Amino acid sequence: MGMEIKVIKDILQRNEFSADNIRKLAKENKWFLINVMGSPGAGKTSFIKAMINTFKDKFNIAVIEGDVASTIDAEEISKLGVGVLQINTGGACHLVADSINEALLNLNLKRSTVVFIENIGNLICPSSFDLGENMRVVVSSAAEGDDKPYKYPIMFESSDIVVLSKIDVAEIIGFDMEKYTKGLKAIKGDNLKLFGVSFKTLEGLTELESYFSKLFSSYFNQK
Amino acid sequence: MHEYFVAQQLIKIAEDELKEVRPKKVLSVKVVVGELSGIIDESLKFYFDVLTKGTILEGSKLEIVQKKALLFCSSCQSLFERTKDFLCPKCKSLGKLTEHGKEFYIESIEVDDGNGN
Repeated sequence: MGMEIKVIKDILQRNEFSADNIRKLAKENKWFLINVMGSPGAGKTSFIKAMINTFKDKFNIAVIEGDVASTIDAEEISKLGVGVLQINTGGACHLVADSINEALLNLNLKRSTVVFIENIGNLICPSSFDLGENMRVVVSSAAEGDDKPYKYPIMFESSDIVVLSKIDVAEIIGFDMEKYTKGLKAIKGDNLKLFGVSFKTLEGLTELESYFSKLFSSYFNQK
Repeated sequence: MHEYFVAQQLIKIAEDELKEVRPKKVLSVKVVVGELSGIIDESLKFYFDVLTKGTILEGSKLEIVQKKALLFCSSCQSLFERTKDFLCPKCKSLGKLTEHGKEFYIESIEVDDGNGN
Protein backbone atom coordinates (compact mmCIF):
# COMPACT_ATOMS: atom_id res chain seq x y z
CA MET A 1 0.00 0.00 0.00
CA GLY A 2 1.03 3.57 -0.49
CA MET A 3 2.88 5.72 1.99
CA GLU A 4 3.63 9.36 1.32
CA ILE A 5 7.06 10.80 2.08
CA LYS A 6 7.07 14.60 2.38
CA VAL A 7 10.07 16.09 0.66
CA ILE A 8 9.70 19.82 -0.23
CA LYS A 9 13.10 20.30 -1.81
CA ASP A 10 14.20 22.75 -4.44
CA ILE A 11 15.06 20.76 -7.55
CA LEU A 12 18.00 23.00 -8.42
CA GLN A 13 19.53 22.75 -4.94
CA ARG A 14 22.77 21.14 -6.15
CA ASN A 15 23.43 24.11 -8.37
CA GLU A 16 22.84 26.34 -5.34
CA PHE A 17 25.52 24.53 -3.31
CA SER A 18 27.97 25.04 -6.11
CA ALA A 19 26.97 28.71 -6.49
CA ASP A 20 27.63 29.21 -2.77
CA ASN A 21 31.15 27.85 -3.28
CA ILE A 22 31.74 30.36 -6.05
CA ARG A 23 30.53 33.21 -3.84
CA LYS A 24 33.02 32.15 -1.19
CA LEU A 25 35.86 31.87 -3.69
CA ALA A 26 35.02 35.24 -5.25
CA LYS A 27 34.87 36.94 -1.88
CA GLU A 28 38.24 35.55 -0.78
CA ASN A 29 39.90 36.66 -4.01
CA LYS A 30 37.92 39.86 -4.40
CA TRP A 31 36.61 38.94 -7.81
CA PHE A 32 33.54 40.69 -9.15
CA LEU A 33 31.46 38.32 -11.26
CA ILE A 34 28.94 39.63 -13.77
CA ASN A 35 26.48 37.19 -15.34
CA VAL A 36 25.53 38.62 -18.74
CA MET A 37 22.28 37.21 -20.12
CA GLY A 38 19.99 37.91 -23.07
CA SER A 39 18.67 36.54 -26.37
CA PRO A 40 20.98 35.44 -29.20
CA GLY A 41 21.98 38.59 -31.04
CA ALA A 42 20.87 41.01 -28.30
CA GLY A 43 24.38 42.42 -27.95
CA LYS A 44 25.89 40.51 -25.00
CA THR A 45 29.31 40.26 -26.64
CA SER A 46 29.13 43.91 -27.77
CA PHE A 47 28.36 44.93 -24.19
CA ILE A 48 31.31 42.95 -22.84
CA LYS A 49 33.66 44.30 -25.53
CA ALA A 50 32.58 47.88 -24.77
CA MET A 51 33.22 47.33 -21.05
CA ILE A 52 36.63 45.79 -21.73
CA ASN A 53 37.66 48.76 -23.89
CA THR A 54 36.55 51.21 -21.23
CA PHE A 55 38.00 49.50 -18.18
CA LYS A 56 40.95 47.32 -19.23
CA ASP A 57 43.54 49.93 -18.28
CA LYS A 58 41.99 50.50 -14.84
CA PHE A 59 41.00 47.00 -13.68
CA ASN A 60 41.96 43.37 -14.27
CA ILE A 61 39.35 41.83 -16.54
CA ALA A 62 38.67 38.26 -17.62
CA VAL A 63 35.84 36.67 -19.56
CA ILE A 64 34.13 33.30 -19.41
CA GLU A 65 32.37 32.68 -22.71
CA GLY A 66 29.46 30.30 -22.66
CA ASP A 67 28.39 28.98 -25.99
CA VAL A 68 26.42 26.01 -27.22
CA ALA A 69 29.20 24.91 -29.57
CA SER A 70 31.24 27.62 -31.29
CA THR A 71 34.28 29.70 -30.23
CA ILE A 72 33.43 32.78 -32.35
CA ASP A 73 32.79 35.13 -29.41
CA ALA A 74 35.82 33.93 -27.44
CA GLU A 75 38.08 34.61 -30.45
CA GLU A 76 36.64 38.12 -30.82
CA ILE A 77 37.26 38.89 -27.16
CA SER A 78 40.76 37.46 -27.00
CA LYS A 79 41.80 40.05 -29.61
CA LEU A 80 41.21 42.70 -26.93
CA GLY A 81 44.01 41.31 -24.81
CA VAL A 82 42.12 39.93 -21.81
CA GLY A 83 41.99 36.35 -20.52
CA VAL A 84 39.16 34.33 -22.02
CA LEU A 85 37.97 30.85 -21.23
CA GLN A 86 35.43 29.14 -23.41
CA ILE A 87 32.78 26.81 -22.03
CA ASN A 88 30.87 24.81 -24.61
CA THR A 89 27.71 23.45 -23.09
CA GLY A 90 27.27 20.87 -25.85
CA GLY A 91 23.73 21.91 -26.65
CA ALA A 92 22.58 22.88 -23.16
CA CYS A 93 20.62 26.11 -22.95
CA HIS A 94 22.29 27.65 -19.90
CA LEU A 95 25.49 27.68 -17.84
CA VAL A 96 25.58 25.89 -14.49
CA ALA A 97 27.57 26.82 -11.39
CA ASP A 98 29.73 23.67 -11.57
CA SER A 99 31.25 24.70 -14.88
CA ILE A 100 31.85 28.29 -13.71
CA ASN A 101 33.60 26.97 -10.61
CA GLU A 102 35.94 24.94 -12.79
CA ALA A 103 36.50 27.81 -15.24
CA LEU A 104 37.41 30.22 -12.43
CA LEU A 105 40.05 27.79 -11.17
CA ASN A 106 41.48 27.31 -14.68
CA LEU A 107 41.73 31.01 -15.48
CA ASN A 108 44.51 31.71 -12.93
CA LEU A 109 42.90 35.02 -12.07
CA LYS A 110 44.69 37.78 -10.22
CA ARG A 111 43.20 39.14 -7.02
CA SER A 112 40.66 41.92 -7.68
CA THR A 113 39.45 40.95 -11.13
CA VAL A 114 36.22 41.73 -12.91
CA VAL A 115 34.94 38.55 -14.56
CA PHE A 116 32.28 38.82 -17.25
CA ILE A 117 30.39 35.57 -17.79
CA GLU A 118 28.58 35.52 -21.11
CA ASN A 119 25.66 33.17 -20.71
CA ILE A 120 23.92 31.19 -23.46
CA GLY A 121 21.58 33.27 -25.62
CA ASN A 122 18.17 32.54 -24.15
CA LEU A 123 15.65 34.54 -22.10
CA ILE A 124 14.32 31.65 -20.03
CA CYS A 125 16.73 29.03 -18.73
CA PRO A 126 19.77 31.05 -17.61
CA SER A 127 17.63 32.99 -15.13
CA SER A 128 16.97 29.81 -13.11
CA PHE A 129 20.64 29.02 -12.56
CA ASP A 130 22.55 30.89 -9.89
CA LEU A 131 26.23 31.17 -10.88
CA GLY A 132 27.31 32.76 -7.60
CA GLU A 133 27.63 36.07 -9.44
CA ASN A 134 27.84 39.52 -7.84
CA MET A 135 25.43 40.96 -10.35
CA ARG A 136 23.24 40.02 -13.28
CA VAL A 137 22.86 42.07 -16.43
CA VAL A 138 20.24 41.40 -19.08
CA VAL A 139 20.99 42.79 -22.52
CA SER A 140 17.69 43.19 -24.36
CA SER A 141 17.67 44.79 -27.79
CA ALA A 142 15.02 47.12 -29.14
CA ALA A 143 14.98 44.88 -32.22
CA GLU A 144 13.50 42.01 -30.19
CA GLY A 145 10.37 44.06 -29.49
CA ASP A 146 8.81 45.95 -26.59
CA ASP A 147 6.90 42.93 -25.22
CA LYS A 148 9.90 41.06 -23.82
CA PRO A 149 9.40 42.01 -20.13
CA TYR A 150 5.82 40.73 -20.33
CA LYS A 151 6.81 37.45 -21.95
CA TYR A 152 9.94 36.67 -19.94
CA PRO A 153 9.36 38.41 -16.59
CA ILE A 154 11.70 36.19 -14.57
CA MET A 155 14.71 37.09 -16.68
CA PHE A 156 14.13 40.79 -16.05
CA GLU A 157 13.23 40.32 -12.41
CA SER A 158 16.40 38.38 -11.70
CA SER A 159 18.64 40.99 -13.36
CA ASP A 160 20.12 43.90 -11.46
CA ILE A 161 20.28 46.12 -14.52
CA VAL A 162 18.66 46.13 -17.95
CA VAL A 163 20.76 47.23 -20.91
CA LEU A 164 18.38 48.09 -23.74
CA SER A 165 20.60 47.86 -26.82
CA LYS A 166 20.16 48.94 -30.45
CA ILE A 167 18.22 52.06 -29.44
CA ASP A 168 19.44 53.63 -32.69
CA VAL A 169 16.86 51.51 -34.55
CA ALA A 170 14.05 51.74 -31.97
CA GLU A 171 12.11 54.43 -33.77
CA ILE A 172 12.41 52.89 -37.23
CA ILE A 173 10.98 49.57 -36.09
CA GLY A 174 8.22 51.11 -33.95
CA PHE A 175 9.57 50.09 -30.54
CA ASP A 176 7.20 51.42 -27.86
CA MET A 177 9.42 52.67 -25.04
CA GLU A 178 6.48 53.46 -22.75
CA LYS A 179 5.09 49.94 -23.02
CA TYR A 180 8.53 48.41 -22.43
CA THR A 181 9.22 50.59 -19.37
CA LYS A 182 5.76 49.93 -17.94
CA GLY A 183 6.37 46.18 -18.10
CA LEU A 184 9.73 46.60 -16.39
CA LYS A 185 8.18 48.77 -13.66
CA ALA A 186 5.61 46.03 -12.94
CA ILE A 187 8.49 43.60 -12.48
CA LYS A 188 11.17 45.71 -10.83
CA GLY A 189 9.19 48.46 -9.11
CA ASP A 190 11.44 51.26 -7.92
CA ASN A 191 14.53 49.08 -8.28
CA LEU A 192 14.56 49.47 -12.04
CA LYS A 193 17.92 50.42 -13.53
CA LEU A 194 17.52 50.78 -17.27
CA PHE A 195 20.23 51.97 -19.68
CA GLY A 196 19.34 52.62 -23.30
CA VAL A 197 22.44 52.28 -25.49
CA SER A 198 23.65 51.68 -28.99
CA PHE A 199 27.00 49.93 -29.21
CA LYS A 200 27.13 51.06 -32.85
CA THR A 201 26.52 54.80 -32.53
CA LEU A 202 27.77 54.80 -28.88
CA GLU A 203 24.65 56.67 -27.79
CA GLY A 204 23.99 56.24 -24.06
CA LEU A 205 27.33 54.55 -23.42
CA THR A 206 28.64 57.31 -21.13
CA GLU A 207 25.88 56.69 -18.54
CA LEU A 208 26.52 52.96 -18.60
CA GLU A 209 30.27 53.45 -18.19
CA SER A 210 29.82 55.87 -15.34
CA TYR A 211 27.50 53.39 -13.56
CA PHE A 212 30.08 50.59 -13.78
CA SER A 213 32.96 52.90 -12.97
CA LYS A 214 31.35 53.82 -9.64
CA LEU A 215 30.39 50.21 -8.96
CA PHE A 216 33.90 48.79 -9.59
CA SER A 217 35.65 51.60 -7.71
CA SER A 218 33.55 51.14 -4.60
CA TYR A 219 33.88 47.32 -4.73
CA PHE A 220 37.63 47.25 -5.19
CA ASN A 221 38.33 50.09 -2.76
CA GLN A 222 36.65 48.25 0.10
CA LYS A 223 39.06 47.07 2.71
CA MET B 1 14.23 23.81 -22.19
CA HIS B 2 16.56 22.21 -19.66
CA GLU B 3 14.33 19.31 -18.71
CA TYR B 4 17.08 16.70 -19.13
CA PHE B 5 19.23 18.42 -16.51
CA VAL B 6 16.23 18.99 -14.27
CA ALA B 7 15.15 15.34 -14.52
CA GLN B 8 18.64 14.24 -13.49
CA GLN B 9 18.60 16.53 -10.42
CA LEU B 10 15.10 15.47 -9.53
CA ILE B 11 15.97 11.77 -9.62
CA LYS B 12 19.09 12.37 -7.55
CA ILE B 13 17.12 14.12 -4.81
CA ALA B 14 14.43 11.42 -4.82
CA GLU B 15 17.05 8.66 -4.61
CA ASP B 16 18.69 10.38 -1.62
CA GLU B 17 15.33 10.68 0.11
CA LEU B 18 14.60 7.00 -0.44
CA LYS B 19 17.97 5.70 0.85
CA GLU B 20 16.72 5.25 4.39
CA VAL B 21 13.17 4.24 3.55
CA ARG B 22 14.13 1.39 1.22
CA PRO B 23 10.61 0.94 -0.15
CA LYS B 24 9.43 -2.13 -2.02
CA LYS B 25 8.29 0.03 -4.86
CA VAL B 26 8.08 3.74 -5.68
CA LEU B 27 4.63 4.62 -6.91
CA SER B 28 4.89 8.30 -7.79
CA VAL B 29 6.91 11.48 -7.38
CA LYS B 30 4.98 14.71 -7.06
CA VAL B 31 6.59 17.96 -8.22
CA VAL B 32 5.20 21.47 -8.16
CA VAL B 33 6.00 23.56 -11.22
CA GLY B 34 5.08 27.23 -11.63
CA GLU B 35 4.34 28.39 -15.14
CA LEU B 36 7.16 30.96 -15.01
CA SER B 37 9.77 28.28 -14.37
CA GLY B 38 9.92 27.56 -18.10
CA ILE B 39 9.60 23.80 -17.61
CA ILE B 40 7.59 21.83 -20.16
CA ASP B 41 5.67 19.03 -18.44
CA GLU B 42 5.69 16.53 -21.28
CA SER B 43 9.39 16.92 -21.81
CA LEU B 44 10.13 16.49 -18.10
CA LYS B 45 7.97 13.34 -17.97
CA PHE B 46 9.78 11.95 -20.99
CA TYR B 47 13.23 12.38 -19.45
CA PHE B 48 11.98 11.15 -16.09
CA ASP B 49 10.85 7.88 -17.68
CA VAL B 50 14.10 7.46 -19.62
CA LEU B 51 16.45 8.35 -16.78
CA THR B 52 14.72 6.33 -14.04
CA LYS B 53 15.36 3.07 -15.92
CA GLY B 54 17.51 0.82 -13.78
CA THR B 55 16.99 2.97 -10.64
CA ILE B 56 14.70 2.46 -7.68
CA LEU B 57 12.32 4.91 -9.34
CA GLU B 58 11.82 2.82 -12.46
CA GLY B 59 8.15 2.46 -13.30
CA SER B 60 7.05 5.26 -10.97
CA LYS B 61 4.83 8.04 -12.20
CA LEU B 62 5.86 11.67 -12.31
CA GLU B 63 2.96 13.76 -11.12
CA ILE B 64 3.18 17.43 -12.01
CA VAL B 65 1.14 20.02 -10.13
CA GLN B 66 1.01 23.19 -12.18
CA LYS B 67 0.79 26.61 -10.61
CA LYS B 68 -0.39 29.70 -12.43
CA ALA B 69 1.50 32.99 -12.37
CA LEU B 70 -0.38 35.45 -10.17
CA LEU B 71 0.17 39.20 -10.12
CA PHE B 72 -0.71 41.49 -7.24
CA CYS B 73 -2.85 44.57 -7.78
CA SER B 74 -2.01 47.18 -5.16
CA SER B 75 -5.17 49.18 -5.90
CA CYS B 76 -7.60 46.28 -5.31
CA GLN B 77 -5.22 44.55 -2.89
CA SER B 78 -5.86 41.29 -4.67
CA LEU B 79 -4.13 38.62 -6.73
CA PHE B 80 -5.04 38.00 -10.35
CA GLU B 81 -3.92 35.57 -13.04
CA ARG B 82 -1.27 37.01 -15.34
CA THR B 83 -2.74 39.01 -18.21
CA LYS B 84 -0.93 39.89 -21.43
CA ASP B 85 -0.30 43.51 -20.42
CA PHE B 86 -0.02 42.82 -16.64
CA LEU B 87 -3.15 44.96 -16.06
CA CYS B 88 -5.62 44.05 -13.32
CA PRO B 89 -8.85 42.81 -14.99
CA LYS B 90 -10.95 44.64 -12.39
CA CYS B 91 -9.43 48.12 -12.12
CA LYS B 92 -6.86 48.15 -14.97
CA SER B 93 -3.99 49.09 -12.63
CA LEU B 94 -0.56 47.67 -13.38
CA GLY B 95 0.01 44.50 -11.35
CA LYS B 96 3.24 43.38 -9.72
CA LEU B 97 4.97 40.03 -10.08
CA THR B 98 4.69 37.75 -7.03
CA GLU B 99 6.19 34.42 -5.96
CA HIS B 100 3.15 32.60 -7.38
CA GLY B 101 4.22 30.92 -10.60
CA LYS B 102 7.90 30.51 -9.73
CA GLU B 103 7.47 27.25 -7.79
CA PHE B 104 9.82 24.44 -8.61
CA TYR B 105 10.24 21.73 -6.02
CA ILE B 106 9.62 18.09 -5.16
CA GLU B 107 6.65 17.94 -2.85
CA SER B 108 6.41 14.26 -1.99
CA ILE B 109 7.12 10.69 -3.00
CA GLU B 110 4.56 7.94 -2.72
CA VAL B 111 5.95 4.49 -2.00
CA ASP B 112 4.79 1.00 -1.32
CA ASP B 113 6.70 0.18 1.87
CA GLY B 114 5.69 -3.47 1.83
CA ASN B 115 4.15 -3.21 5.30
CA GLY B 116 0.61 -3.25 4.07
CA ASN B 117 -0.12 0.22 5.43
